[in-house]
Amino acid sequence: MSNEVSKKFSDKDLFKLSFRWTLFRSLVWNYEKMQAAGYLVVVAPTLDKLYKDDENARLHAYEVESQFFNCETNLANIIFGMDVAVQEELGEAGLDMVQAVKTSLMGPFSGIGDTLFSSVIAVIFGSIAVTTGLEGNYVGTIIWFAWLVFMPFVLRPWLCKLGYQQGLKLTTTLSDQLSKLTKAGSILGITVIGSMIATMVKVNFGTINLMGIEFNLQTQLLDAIMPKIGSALAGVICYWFLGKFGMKSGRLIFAVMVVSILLSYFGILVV
Amino acid sequence: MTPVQIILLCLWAAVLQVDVMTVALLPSNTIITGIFAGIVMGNPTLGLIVGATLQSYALGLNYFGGASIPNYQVAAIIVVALCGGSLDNVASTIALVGIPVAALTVQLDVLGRIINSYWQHKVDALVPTGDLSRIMKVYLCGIFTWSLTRLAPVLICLLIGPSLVDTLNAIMPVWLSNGLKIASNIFPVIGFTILLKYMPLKGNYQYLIIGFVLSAYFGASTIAVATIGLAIALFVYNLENNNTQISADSEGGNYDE
Repeated sequence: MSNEVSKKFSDKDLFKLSFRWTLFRSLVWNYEKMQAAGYLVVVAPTLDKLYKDDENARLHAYEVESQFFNCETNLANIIFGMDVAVQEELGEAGLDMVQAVKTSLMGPFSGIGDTLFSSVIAVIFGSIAVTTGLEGNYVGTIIWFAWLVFMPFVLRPWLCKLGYQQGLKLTTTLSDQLSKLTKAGSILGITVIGSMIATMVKVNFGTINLMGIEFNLQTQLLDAIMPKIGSALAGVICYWFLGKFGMKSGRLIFAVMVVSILLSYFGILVV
Repeated sequence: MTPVQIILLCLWAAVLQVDVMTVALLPSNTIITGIFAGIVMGNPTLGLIVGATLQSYALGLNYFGGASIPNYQVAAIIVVALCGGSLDNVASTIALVGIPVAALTVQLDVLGRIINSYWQHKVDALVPTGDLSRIMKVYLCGIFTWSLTRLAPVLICLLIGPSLVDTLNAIMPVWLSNGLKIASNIFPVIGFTILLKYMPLKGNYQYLIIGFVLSAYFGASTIAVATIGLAIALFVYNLENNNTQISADSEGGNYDE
Protein backbone atom coordinates (compact mmCIF):
# COMPACT_ATOMS: atom_id res chain seq x y z
CA MET A 1 0.00 0.00 0.00
CA SER A 2 2.88 2.31 0.69
CA ASN A 3 4.05 1.99 -2.90
CA GLU A 4 0.74 3.31 -4.12
CA VAL A 5 0.77 6.40 -1.96
CA SER A 6 4.47 7.17 -2.16
CA LYS A 7 4.38 8.71 -5.59
CA LYS A 8 3.25 12.19 -4.80
CA PHE A 9 6.75 13.59 -4.37
CA SER A 10 9.01 13.51 -7.40
CA ASP A 11 12.81 13.55 -7.37
CA LYS A 12 12.58 17.23 -8.18
CA ASP A 13 10.43 17.88 -5.09
CA LEU A 14 12.89 16.01 -2.91
CA PHE A 15 15.82 17.91 -4.41
CA LYS A 16 14.01 21.13 -3.58
CA LEU A 17 13.38 19.97 -0.01
CA SER A 18 16.99 18.99 0.44
CA PHE A 19 18.29 22.19 -1.11
CA ARG A 20 15.98 24.27 1.06
CA TRP A 21 17.74 22.66 4.04
CA THR A 22 21.14 23.54 2.58
CA LEU A 23 19.93 27.08 2.00
CA PHE A 24 18.29 27.89 5.33
CA ARG A 25 19.36 25.32 7.92
CA SER A 26 21.14 27.25 10.71
CA LEU A 27 20.23 30.90 10.13
CA VAL A 28 18.37 31.15 13.44
CA TRP A 29 20.52 28.66 15.37
CA ASN A 30 20.10 29.45 19.08
CA TYR A 31 20.81 27.77 22.40
CA GLU A 32 17.14 27.18 23.23
CA LYS A 33 15.78 25.22 20.27
CA MET A 34 18.87 25.09 18.02
CA GLN A 35 17.68 24.33 14.45
CA ALA A 36 13.97 24.08 15.34
CA ALA A 37 12.95 27.13 13.30
CA GLY A 38 15.23 26.00 10.49
CA TYR A 39 13.55 22.59 10.32
CA LEU A 40 10.12 24.25 10.20
CA VAL A 41 10.85 26.65 7.34
CA VAL A 42 12.48 23.86 5.34
CA VAL A 43 9.59 21.42 5.64
CA ALA A 44 6.76 24.00 5.66
CA PRO A 45 6.11 24.14 1.87
CA THR A 46 5.86 20.33 1.90
CA LEU A 47 3.37 20.52 4.78
CA ASP A 48 1.33 23.12 2.88
CA LYS A 49 1.17 20.69 -0.04
CA LEU A 50 0.30 17.67 2.12
CA TYR A 51 -2.48 19.38 4.09
CA LYS A 52 -3.84 21.83 1.55
CA ASP A 53 -7.40 20.63 2.19
CA ASP A 54 -7.21 20.48 5.98
CA GLU A 55 -6.25 23.74 7.69
CA ASN A 56 -6.38 22.32 11.25
CA ALA A 57 -4.09 19.46 10.32
CA ARG A 58 -1.70 21.88 8.65
CA LEU A 59 -1.49 24.04 11.81
CA HIS A 60 -1.00 20.93 13.90
CA ALA A 61 1.85 19.86 11.63
CA TYR A 62 3.45 23.32 11.88
CA GLU A 63 3.39 23.03 15.65
CA VAL A 64 4.94 19.55 15.70
CA GLU A 65 7.61 20.46 13.15
CA SER A 66 8.73 23.55 15.09
CA GLN A 67 10.09 21.61 18.06
CA PHE A 68 13.72 21.24 19.11
CA PHE A 69 16.00 19.93 16.39
CA ASN A 70 19.75 19.71 15.81
CA CYS A 71 21.43 17.35 13.39
CA GLU A 72 24.48 16.99 11.19
CA THR A 73 23.85 18.71 7.86
CA ASN A 74 24.17 15.71 5.51
CA LEU A 75 22.46 12.91 7.43
CA ALA A 76 19.61 15.23 8.47
CA ASN A 77 18.38 14.77 4.90
CA ILE A 78 17.48 11.16 5.65
CA ILE A 79 15.24 12.43 8.47
CA PHE A 80 13.55 14.89 6.09
CA GLY A 81 12.90 12.10 3.61
CA MET A 82 11.44 9.81 6.29
CA ASP A 83 9.37 12.65 7.72
CA VAL A 84 7.68 13.24 4.36
CA ALA A 85 7.21 9.51 3.73
CA VAL A 86 5.51 8.97 7.10
CA GLN A 87 3.16 11.95 6.76
CA GLU A 88 2.28 11.06 3.21
CA GLU A 89 1.28 7.56 4.26
CA LEU A 90 -0.41 8.28 7.59
CA GLY A 91 -1.41 11.93 7.32
CA GLU A 92 -2.02 13.90 10.49
CA ALA A 93 -2.10 10.66 12.48
CA GLY A 94 1.57 10.18 11.59
CA LEU A 95 2.70 13.36 13.34
CA ASP A 96 3.45 11.56 16.62
CA MET A 97 5.63 9.15 14.73
CA VAL A 98 7.35 12.01 12.91
CA GLN A 99 8.19 13.56 16.26
CA ALA A 100 9.55 10.25 17.51
CA VAL A 101 11.62 9.70 14.36
CA LYS A 102 13.14 13.18 14.59
CA THR A 103 14.00 12.95 18.28
CA SER A 104 15.36 9.46 18.15
CA LEU A 105 17.46 9.85 14.99
CA MET A 106 18.97 13.32 15.29
CA GLY A 107 21.38 12.25 18.06
CA PRO A 108 22.83 9.12 16.47
CA PHE A 109 22.90 10.75 13.01
CA SER A 110 24.80 13.72 14.43
CA GLY A 111 27.28 11.39 16.08
CA ILE A 112 27.91 9.42 12.90
CA GLY A 113 27.77 12.48 10.63
CA ASP A 114 30.13 14.55 12.75
CA THR A 115 32.64 11.73 12.73
CA LEU A 116 32.31 10.82 9.08
CA PHE A 117 31.73 14.16 7.33
CA SER A 118 32.85 16.93 9.70
CA SER A 119 35.87 15.02 10.99
CA VAL A 120 37.31 12.31 8.77
CA ILE A 121 36.42 13.61 5.31
CA ALA A 122 36.88 17.30 6.16
CA VAL A 123 40.29 16.60 7.66
CA ILE A 124 41.49 14.56 4.70
CA PHE A 125 40.41 17.13 2.09
CA GLY A 126 41.51 19.97 4.38
CA SER A 127 44.97 18.58 5.10
CA ILE A 128 45.67 17.97 1.40
CA ALA A 129 44.51 21.52 0.61
CA VAL A 130 46.69 22.92 3.42
CA THR A 131 49.87 21.04 2.49
CA THR A 132 49.59 21.91 -1.20
CA GLY A 133 48.42 25.45 -0.41
CA LEU A 134 51.43 26.21 1.80
CA GLU A 135 53.59 25.52 -1.28
CA GLY A 136 51.54 27.99 -3.32
CA ASN A 137 49.71 25.21 -5.19
CA TYR A 138 45.95 25.49 -5.83
CA VAL A 139 45.28 21.82 -6.64
CA GLY A 140 44.33 20.68 -3.11
CA THR A 141 41.91 23.58 -2.71
CA ILE A 142 40.24 22.79 -6.04
CA ILE A 143 39.76 19.14 -5.04
CA TRP A 144 38.25 20.24 -1.71
CA PHE A 145 35.95 22.69 -3.50
CA ALA A 146 34.70 19.86 -5.75
CA TRP A 147 33.68 17.97 -2.60
CA LEU A 148 31.98 21.09 -1.20
CA VAL A 149 29.91 21.26 -4.41
CA PHE A 150 29.20 17.52 -4.39
CA MET A 151 27.59 17.57 -0.93
CA PRO A 152 24.69 20.03 -1.45
CA PHE A 153 23.98 19.11 -5.08
CA VAL A 154 24.42 15.33 -5.12
CA LEU A 155 24.94 13.73 -1.71
CA ARG A 156 22.21 15.49 0.29
CA PRO A 157 19.44 15.12 -2.34
CA TRP A 158 20.40 11.44 -2.63
CA LEU A 159 20.20 10.94 1.15
CA CYS A 160 16.82 12.70 1.20
CA LYS A 161 15.53 10.41 -1.57
CA LEU A 162 16.88 7.39 0.29
CA GLY A 163 14.98 8.39 3.45
CA TYR A 164 11.80 9.00 1.44
CA GLN A 165 11.86 5.74 -0.52
CA GLN A 166 12.94 3.45 2.27
CA GLY A 167 10.96 5.15 5.04
CA LEU A 168 11.17 3.75 8.52
CA LYS A 169 12.58 0.37 7.52
CA LEU A 170 15.81 2.18 6.67
CA THR A 171 16.71 2.77 10.31
CA THR A 172 17.77 -0.81 11.04
CA THR A 173 19.73 -1.55 7.87
CA LEU A 174 21.30 1.88 7.59
CA SER A 175 22.55 2.30 11.13
CA ASP A 176 24.40 -1.00 10.81
CA GLN A 177 26.05 0.01 7.53
CA LEU A 178 26.83 3.52 8.75
CA SER A 179 28.45 2.36 11.95
CA LYS A 180 30.75 0.04 9.99
CA LEU A 181 31.59 2.83 7.60
CA THR A 182 32.22 5.20 10.50
CA LYS A 183 34.55 2.70 12.13
CA ALA A 184 36.61 2.26 8.97
CA GLY A 185 36.55 6.01 8.35
CA SER A 186 37.74 6.69 11.86
CA ILE A 187 40.81 4.52 11.32
CA LEU A 188 41.70 6.52 8.24
CA GLY A 189 41.03 9.80 10.04
CA ILE A 190 43.04 8.93 13.13
CA THR A 191 46.03 7.83 11.00
CA VAL A 192 45.97 11.13 9.13
CA ILE A 193 45.69 13.10 12.38
CA GLY A 194 48.78 11.30 13.68
CA SER A 195 50.66 12.39 10.57
CA MET A 196 49.42 15.96 10.82
CA ILE A 197 50.47 16.30 14.44
CA ALA A 198 53.99 15.50 13.24
CA THR A 199 53.96 17.76 10.18
CA MET A 200 51.88 20.80 11.13
CA VAL A 201 52.54 21.38 14.82
CA LYS A 202 55.89 23.07 15.48
CA VAL A 203 57.38 23.18 18.96
CA ASN A 204 60.98 24.39 19.36
CA PHE A 205 62.70 24.27 22.72
CA GLY A 206 65.40 26.81 23.54
CA THR A 207 68.65 26.89 25.44
CA ILE A 208 68.52 27.02 29.21
CA ASN A 209 71.28 27.88 31.63
CA LEU A 210 71.84 25.22 34.29
CA MET A 211 74.35 26.44 36.90
CA GLY A 212 76.52 28.12 34.33
CA ILE A 213 76.24 25.37 31.73
CA GLU A 214 74.40 26.14 28.50
CA PHE A 215 72.06 23.32 27.68
CA ASN A 216 70.05 23.19 24.49
CA LEU A 217 66.85 21.30 25.26
CA GLN A 218 66.02 20.71 21.61
CA THR A 219 69.29 19.46 20.08
CA GLN A 220 70.93 18.00 23.15
CA LEU A 221 67.95 16.26 24.72
CA LEU A 222 64.72 15.93 22.72
CA ASP A 223 66.07 15.33 19.21
CA ALA A 224 68.08 12.46 20.66
CA ILE A 225 64.91 10.78 21.95
CA MET A 226 62.60 11.15 18.96
CA PRO A 227 62.00 13.67 16.19
CA LYS A 228 58.94 15.91 16.68
CA ILE A 229 58.53 14.79 20.27
CA GLY A 230 57.51 18.35 21.19
CA SER A 231 54.51 18.11 18.85
CA ALA A 232 53.48 14.79 20.36
CA LEU A 233 53.83 16.28 23.85
CA ALA A 234 51.67 19.27 22.90
CA GLY A 235 49.03 16.84 21.59
CA VAL A 236 49.01 14.77 24.77
CA ILE A 237 48.79 17.86 27.02
CA CYS A 238 45.97 19.43 24.99
CA TYR A 239 44.04 16.16 24.92
CA TRP A 240 44.39 15.89 28.68
CA PHE A 241 43.31 19.53 29.10
CA LEU A 242 40.15 18.93 27.05
CA GLY A 243 39.19 15.99 29.23
CA LYS A 244 39.91 17.94 32.39
CA PHE A 245 38.38 21.34 31.74
CA GLY A 246 35.57 20.58 29.33
CA MET A 247 35.50 20.42 25.55
CA LYS A 248 35.80 24.12 24.89
CA SER A 249 38.07 25.07 22.01
CA GLY A 250 37.88 28.72 23.11
CA ARG A 251 39.32 27.91 26.52
CA LEU A 252 42.06 25.76 25.04
CA ILE A 253 43.09 28.52 22.63
CA PHE A 254 43.53 30.99 25.48
CA ALA A 255 45.39 28.40 27.54
CA VAL A 256 47.81 27.71 24.66
CA MET A 257 48.37 31.45 24.21
CA VAL A 258 49.09 32.07 27.90
CA VAL A 259 51.39 29.05 28.28
CA SER A 260 53.28 29.92 25.06
CA ILE A 261 53.83 33.50 26.21
CA LEU A 262 55.05 32.32 29.64
CA LEU A 263 57.42 29.74 28.16
CA SER A 264 58.63 32.33 25.66
CA TYR A 265 59.38 34.73 28.53
CA PHE A 266 61.57 32.13 30.26
CA GLY A 267 63.20 31.13 26.99
CA ILE A 268 62.08 27.50 27.26
CA LEU A 269 60.24 27.70 23.92
CA VAL A 270 61.60 29.66 20.97
CA VAL A 271 60.11 30.59 17.58
CA MET B 1 44.15 50.18 0.83
CA THR B 2 41.66 51.70 -1.60
CA PRO B 3 37.99 52.17 -0.63
CA VAL B 4 37.02 49.61 -3.29
CA GLN B 5 39.28 47.02 -1.70
CA ILE B 6 37.82 47.71 1.75
CA ILE B 7 34.25 47.45 0.41
CA LEU B 8 34.95 44.14 -1.39
CA LEU B 9 36.61 42.60 1.66
CA CYS B 10 33.81 43.81 3.94
CA LEU B 11 31.16 42.35 1.62
CA TRP B 12 32.95 39.01 1.75
CA ALA B 13 33.14 39.25 5.55
CA ALA B 14 29.41 40.02 5.70
CA VAL B 15 28.39 36.86 3.82
CA LEU B 16 31.09 34.67 5.38
CA GLN B 17 29.25 33.33 8.40
CA VAL B 18 25.92 33.28 6.57
CA ASP B 19 27.60 30.82 4.21
CA VAL B 20 28.92 28.76 7.16
CA MET B 21 25.36 28.51 8.49
CA THR B 22 23.79 27.64 5.14
CA VAL B 23 25.36 26.37 1.91
CA ALA B 24 28.96 26.24 3.17
CA LEU B 25 30.41 26.61 -0.30
CA LEU B 26 32.79 29.56 -0.73
CA PRO B 27 33.44 32.18 2.00
CA SER B 28 33.00 29.58 4.73
CA ASN B 29 36.25 28.01 3.56
CA THR B 30 39.34 29.66 5.06
CA ILE B 31 41.63 28.92 2.08
CA ILE B 32 39.11 30.16 -0.50
CA THR B 33 38.59 33.28 1.62
CA GLY B 34 42.37 33.80 1.68
CA ILE B 35 42.55 33.45 -2.11
CA PHE B 36 39.70 35.95 -2.57
CA ALA B 37 41.38 38.46 -0.25
CA GLY B 38 44.63 37.85 -2.15
CA ILE B 39 42.93 38.60 -5.48
CA VAL B 40 41.46 41.82 -4.05
CA MET B 41 44.86 42.87 -2.70
CA GLY B 42 46.59 41.93 -5.97
CA ASN B 43 48.46 38.81 -4.79
CA PRO B 44 46.39 35.61 -4.97
CA THR B 45 49.26 33.27 -4.09
CA LEU B 46 50.00 35.21 -0.91
CA GLY B 47 46.30 34.86 -0.07
CA LEU B 48 46.48 31.12 -0.73
CA ILE B 49 49.44 30.71 1.63
CA VAL B 50 47.83 32.82 4.38
CA GLY B 51 44.59 30.89 3.94
CA ALA B 52 46.38 27.53 4.11
CA THR B 53 48.34 28.58 7.21
CA LEU B 54 45.17 29.64 9.02
CA GLN B 55 43.27 26.60 7.72
CA SER B 56 45.89 24.41 9.41
CA TYR B 57 44.70 25.89 12.74
CA ALA B 58 41.10 25.26 11.78
CA LEU B 59 41.47 21.62 10.69
CA GLY B 60 39.25 19.61 12.94
CA LEU B 61 37.50 22.62 14.43
CA ASN B 62 33.82 22.47 13.68
CA TYR B 63 30.57 23.79 15.06
CA PHE B 64 29.85 20.38 16.61
CA GLY B 65 26.42 20.54 18.22
CA GLY B 66 26.62 24.32 18.28
CA ALA B 67 30.01 24.75 19.96
CA SER B 68 31.69 28.08 19.17
CA ILE B 69 35.04 28.10 17.41
CA PRO B 70 37.38 30.86 16.19
CA ASN B 71 36.60 32.34 12.78
CA TYR B 72 39.88 31.89 10.97
CA GLN B 73 38.17 33.11 7.79
CA VAL B 74 37.83 36.54 9.43
CA ALA B 75 41.51 36.37 10.40
CA ALA B 76 42.44 35.41 6.81
CA ILE B 77 40.83 38.55 5.37
CA ILE B 78 42.51 40.80 7.93
CA VAL B 79 45.95 39.19 7.66
CA VAL B 80 46.01 39.31 3.84
CA ALA B 81 44.87 42.94 3.92
CA LEU B 82 47.33 44.09 6.56
CA CYS B 83 50.52 42.15 5.80
CA GLY B 84 51.59 44.63 3.15
CA GLY B 85 51.77 42.12 0.33
CA SER B 86 54.92 40.49 1.66
CA LEU B 87 55.32 36.84 2.70
CA ASP B 88 57.93 37.88 5.27
CA ASN B 89 55.29 39.78 7.24
CA VAL B 90 52.75 36.95 7.28
CA ALA B 91 53.95 35.15 10.44
CA SER B 92 54.05 38.31 12.55
CA THR B 93 50.74 39.63 11.18
CA ILE B 94 49.08 36.31 12.01
CA ALA B 95 50.58 36.34 15.52
CA LEU B 96 49.85 39.98 16.33
CA VAL B 97 46.45 40.51 14.67
CA GLY B 98 45.10 37.27 13.19
CA ILE B 99 45.24 35.12 16.31
CA PRO B 100 43.80 37.70 18.75
CA VAL B 101 40.98 38.59 16.34
CA ALA B 102 40.18 34.90 15.72
CA ALA B 103 40.05 34.31 19.48
CA LEU B 104 37.68 37.26 19.84
CA THR B 105 35.31 35.84 17.23
CA VAL B 106 34.56 32.92 19.56
CA GLN B 107 32.82 35.41 21.85
CA LEU B 108 31.08 37.07 18.89
CA ASP B 109 29.76 33.67 17.84
CA VAL B 110 28.29 33.05 21.30
CA LEU B 111 26.72 36.53 21.14
CA GLY B 112 25.16 35.70 17.76
CA ARG B 113 23.64 32.49 19.05
CA ILE B 114 22.17 34.37 22.03
CA ILE B 115 20.72 37.11 19.79
CA ASN B 116 19.08 34.41 17.65
CA SER B 117 16.86 33.45 20.59
CA TYR B 118 15.00 36.67 19.85
CA TRP B 119 14.21 35.56 16.27
CA GLN B 120 13.34 32.08 17.54
CA HIS B 121 10.70 33.55 19.88
CA LYS B 122 9.25 35.63 17.05
CA VAL B 123 9.02 32.53 14.84
CA ASP B 124 7.39 30.58 17.68
CA ALA B 125 4.80 33.33 18.07
CA LEU B 126 3.93 33.07 14.37
CA VAL B 127 3.73 29.26 14.18
CA PRO B 128 0.04 29.07 15.30
CA THR B 129 -0.94 31.40 12.42
CA GLY B 130 0.56 29.01 9.89
CA ASP B 131 1.61 32.01 7.77
CA LEU B 132 4.78 30.80 6.05
CA SER B 133 5.65 34.06 4.32
CA ARG B 134 5.60 35.99 7.61
CA ILE B 135 7.62 33.24 9.30
CA MET B 136 10.19 33.42 6.49
CA LYS B 137 10.53 37.20 6.88
CA VAL B 138 11.43 36.80 10.55
CA TYR B 139 13.58 33.75 9.89
CA LEU B 140 15.71 35.54 7.34
CA CYS B 141 16.59 38.16 9.97
CA GLY B 142 19.06 35.53 11.18
CA ILE B 143 21.21 36.73 8.27
CA PHE B 144 21.86 40.00 10.14
CA THR B 145 23.05 38.11 13.22
CA TRP B 146 25.75 36.24 11.32
CA SER B 147 26.58 39.09 9.00
CA LEU B 148 27.15 41.84 11.55
CA THR B 149 29.06 39.74 14.09
CA ARG B 150 31.74 38.97 11.44
CA LEU B 151 31.66 42.28 9.60
CA ALA B 152 32.45 44.27 12.76
CA PRO B 153 36.00 42.99 13.46
CA VAL B 154 36.98 43.10 9.76
CA LEU B 155 35.69 46.64 9.28
CA ILE B 156 37.48 47.92 12.38
CA CYS B 157 40.83 46.33 11.46
CA LEU B 158 40.66 47.46 7.82
CA LEU B 159 39.81 51.04 8.78
CA ILE B 160 42.82 51.21 11.09
CA GLY B 161 44.89 49.73 8.27
CA PRO B 162 48.43 48.32 8.10
CA SER B 163 49.64 50.73 10.79
CA LEU B 164 47.89 48.41 13.26
CA VAL B 165 50.63 45.80 12.85
CA ASP B 166 53.46 48.33 13.12
CA THR B 167 51.96 49.89 16.24
CA LEU B 168 51.48 46.53 17.93
CA ASN B 169 55.03 45.54 16.96
CA ALA B 170 56.42 48.72 18.49
CA ILE B 171 54.48 48.40 21.75
CA MET B 172 54.95 44.69 22.39
CA PRO B 173 58.10 43.33 24.00
CA VAL B 174 59.90 40.68 21.95
CA TRP B 175 59.08 37.79 24.32
CA LEU B 176 55.37 38.62 24.01
CA SER B 177 55.25 38.76 20.21
CA ASN B 178 57.47 35.65 20.10
CA GLY B 179 55.09 33.98 22.54
CA LEU B 180 52.18 34.65 20.15
CA LYS B 181 54.21 33.26 17.23
CA ILE B 182 55.01 30.13 19.27
CA ALA B 183 51.32 29.82 20.09
CA SER B 184 50.38 30.05 16.41
CA ASN B 185 52.85 27.24 15.63
CA ILE B 186 51.16 25.06 18.27
CA PHE B 187 47.59 26.03 17.28
CA PRO B 188 46.95 23.23 14.75
CA VAL B 189 47.15 20.74 17.61
CA ILE B 190 44.01 22.23 19.17
CA GLY B 191 41.88 21.18 16.24
CA PHE B 192 43.48 17.74 16.11
CA THR B 193 42.89 17.00 19.79
CA ILE B 194 39.27 18.21 19.63
CA LEU B 195 38.82 15.95 16.63
CA LEU B 196 40.28 13.03 18.54
CA LYS B 197 37.74 13.69 21.30
CA TYR B 198 34.98 13.20 18.73
CA MET B 199 36.49 10.05 17.27
CA PRO B 200 36.57 6.60 18.78
CA LEU B 201 40.18 6.94 19.94
CA LYS B 202 39.79 4.24 22.53
CA GLY B 203 41.10 1.03 21.01
CA ASN B 204 42.45 2.95 18.00
CA TYR B 205 45.61 4.53 19.49
CA GLN B 206 47.76 2.32 17.26
CA TYR B 207 46.68 4.18 14.09
CA LEU B 208 47.60 7.52 15.65
CA ILE B 209 51.08 6.15 16.34
CA ILE B 210 51.42 4.74 12.81
CA GLY B 211 50.53 8.09 11.26
CA PHE B 212 52.80 10.05 13.59
CA VAL B 213 55.84 7.83 13.11
CA LEU B 214 55.44 7.70 9.32
CA SER B 215 55.64 11.49 9.16
CA ALA B 216 58.01 12.21 12.06
CA TYR B 217 60.65 9.63 11.18
CA PHE B 218 60.18 9.06 7.46
CA GLY B 219 58.83 12.45 6.43
CA ALA B 220 55.82 10.86 4.69
CA SER B 221 53.44 13.39 3.11
CA THR B 222 49.79 13.62 4.14
CA ILE B 223 48.65 11.98 0.92
CA ALA B 224 51.03 9.05 1.47
CA VAL B 225 49.82 8.58 5.05
CA ALA B 226 46.17 8.94 3.97
CA THR B 227 46.69 6.17 1.40
CA ILE B 228 48.24 3.85 3.99
CA GLY B 229 45.39 4.75 6.37
CA LEU B 230 42.88 3.89 3.64
CA ALA B 231 44.54 0.51 3.14
CA ILE B 232 44.29 -0.28 6.86
CA ALA B 233 40.68 0.98 6.97
CA LEU B 234 39.70 -1.26 4.03
CA PHE B 235 41.40 -4.22 5.68
CA VAL B 236 39.49 -3.70 8.93
CA TYR B 237 36.21 -3.01 7.09
CA ASN B 238 36.46 -6.26 5.15
CA LEU B 239 37.38 -8.13 8.30
CA GLU B 240 34.31 -6.69 10.07
CA ASN B 241 32.05 -7.55 7.14
CA ASN B 242 33.29 -11.13 7.12
CA ASN B 243 32.79 -11.40 10.85
CA THR B 244 29.18 -10.22 10.71
CA GLN B 245 28.57 -12.57 7.81
CA ILE B 246 29.84 -15.49 9.88
CA SER B 247 27.97 -14.50 13.04
CA ALA B 248 24.81 -13.82 11.03
CA ASP B 249 25.06 -17.28 9.51
CA SER B 250 25.62 -19.00 12.81
CA GLU B 251 23.14 -16.99 14.87
CA GLY B 252 20.43 -16.85 12.25
CA GLY B 253 20.60 -13.13 11.50
CA ASN B 254 20.41 -12.00 15.08
CA TYR B 255 21.20 -8.27 15.17
CA ASP B 256 23.65 -7.35 17.83
CA GLU B 257 24.87 -3.78 18.32
